[in-house]
Amino acid sequence: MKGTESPSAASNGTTAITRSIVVARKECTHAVRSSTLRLLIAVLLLVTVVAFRGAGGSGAAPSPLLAVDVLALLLQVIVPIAAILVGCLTLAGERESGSLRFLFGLAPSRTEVVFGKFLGTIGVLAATLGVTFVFAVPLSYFMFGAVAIGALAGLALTTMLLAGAFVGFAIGVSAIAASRKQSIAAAVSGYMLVTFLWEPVVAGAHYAVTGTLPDGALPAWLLFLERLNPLEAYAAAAGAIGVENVHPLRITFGLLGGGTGRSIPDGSGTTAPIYLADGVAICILIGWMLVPTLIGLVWFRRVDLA
Amino acid sequence: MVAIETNGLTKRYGDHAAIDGLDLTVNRGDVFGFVGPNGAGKSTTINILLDYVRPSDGSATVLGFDAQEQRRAVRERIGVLPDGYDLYDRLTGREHIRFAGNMNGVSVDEAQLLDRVGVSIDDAERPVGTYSTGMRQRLALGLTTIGDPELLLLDEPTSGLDPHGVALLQQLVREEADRGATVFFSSHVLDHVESVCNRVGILDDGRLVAMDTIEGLRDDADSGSTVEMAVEPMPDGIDEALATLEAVHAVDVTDSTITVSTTDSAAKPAVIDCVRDAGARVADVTTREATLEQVFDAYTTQPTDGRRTAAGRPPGGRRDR
Repeated sequence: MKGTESPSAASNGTTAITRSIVVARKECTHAVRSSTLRLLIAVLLLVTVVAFRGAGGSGAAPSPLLAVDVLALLLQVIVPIAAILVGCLTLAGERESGSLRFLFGLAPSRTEVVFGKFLGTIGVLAATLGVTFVFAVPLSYFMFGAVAIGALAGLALTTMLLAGAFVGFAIGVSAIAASRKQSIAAAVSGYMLVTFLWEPVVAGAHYAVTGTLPDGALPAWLLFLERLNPLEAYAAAAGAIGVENVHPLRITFGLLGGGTGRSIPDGSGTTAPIYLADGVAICILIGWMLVPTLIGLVWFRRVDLA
Repeated sequence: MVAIETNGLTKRYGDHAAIDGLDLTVNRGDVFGFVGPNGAGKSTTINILLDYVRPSDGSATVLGFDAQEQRRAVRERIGVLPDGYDLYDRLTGREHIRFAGNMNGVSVDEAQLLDRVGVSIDDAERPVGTYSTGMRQRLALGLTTIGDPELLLLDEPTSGLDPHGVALLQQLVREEADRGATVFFSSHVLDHVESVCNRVGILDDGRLVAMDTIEGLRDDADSGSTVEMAVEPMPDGIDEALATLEAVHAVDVTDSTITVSTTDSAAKPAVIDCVRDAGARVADVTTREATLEQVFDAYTTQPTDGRRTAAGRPPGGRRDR
């Protein structure tokens, strides 16, 4: 490397894409060196071992397929929290520390920075999950003498979508929050809403529309509202990708009729509307990934970085 | 050619105007010192030039490009040391240089850059989180020169630097200026500005109160002086009497001493006569010629109702601000 370029500073040798990638790469390098990420990988590997052992020790016949189902449950706790931890400090943290001011002294635009952070954070989580699932292959072989490779691959893909959904949400929050504290508070509240309060919210929506609490067969639009929950969408998307027995892990209060009405009531015999198809759940996860980030971006573009 | 121009630039936060109708012109090739006490609005002005902050009113151009509308064109041509910046703790010095080079699409002579700001090759391999404040600041200064920018915008570049670091900075600024770059550099310490800048703008309370060459300001300064007298007994109302004299701009009275600042050295005898006429014995007299700092002082603490005041400040009071 020699400083032999022409004296003109406006060399403009980069494009929006390369600048976003430079930000994303920096984000990855920075994350890889953090103790948070090492801890996260350790927890994920531990959880994988626990899931596989749990499947071996449960009443049902131990099988690599059951182990995948148990792993899916545990991942629904770890992955959203991990995505929020990694994602919600990206912009808010740099804004608070002042490194964003250094970054914006260089060439990238605000859009490129948000996009780069998004790419980098998703890349970090995808790689982390990749390590976890690759680790699960020999583990499964060691414990069961067999590997449910299709289910494991399907779950890996679905879980990356789930991670993407929560990263998108966390980056959106991070772009809007003025400080780390605000960002963490908002992102954690969002997580609480999704895990604890979604059912009351859905039931409340039913009450607001019909004047009664849901009872008996639920209208399709209400099921769709429930499906908008990323954990619900995760379970459905796993089904669409070919992993049959993934259950959404969240708190329910039986407000939607018995608490078992997770799936579309099939007693009516009518075909469910297309928007309740499992495949649509994949779009819902992608929506969670993109929409909050885009909202955050619109906000971030016009905010004062003082 | 104009490097920086602002017209009626205003930024309000609620009722408070951080800067108020600022008209600033910096020519290409200038090494421009932007001075003023803390809170005068220096960083706000620079933040607007960088589009970190959007103005409430007025406009700004940098190298002929609109600071708000043509941000990219501006960024590609400038090197920036912003106020309140931070580097990435877990990246090494060298990684910062590569990051900045990649971002702006220029190749960088890393060894030369490190040498200019006094960061050793060994230190460059360590994460920036292990650097001292001064070392970070020197690395950040080096990063501003990547790609040979046409304009360097440095906000309080001397903060956190030891005397050796300040000397390195001044050397770097001179070299960049010799290369043909414009340097815009803010500080609340006039000494740091004086030795490298050819023009100075003084900002106080969001307004530009002076803009001149160093020589021009020094000419003002050379004409003024301070008279310090030990007096006995202290006459009543002597401060008001002194304040009415021609060329007196500040009077400070304690139990036994009177300190009078004048804008004209020739006013000294009149000052001493005035004290004697009031019936006091002048036991001792010391006079000091005004420094550039005192001119700065006079501009930035001047009351709004005129150049004269009987309510003098304690000597050195400015440093407490």
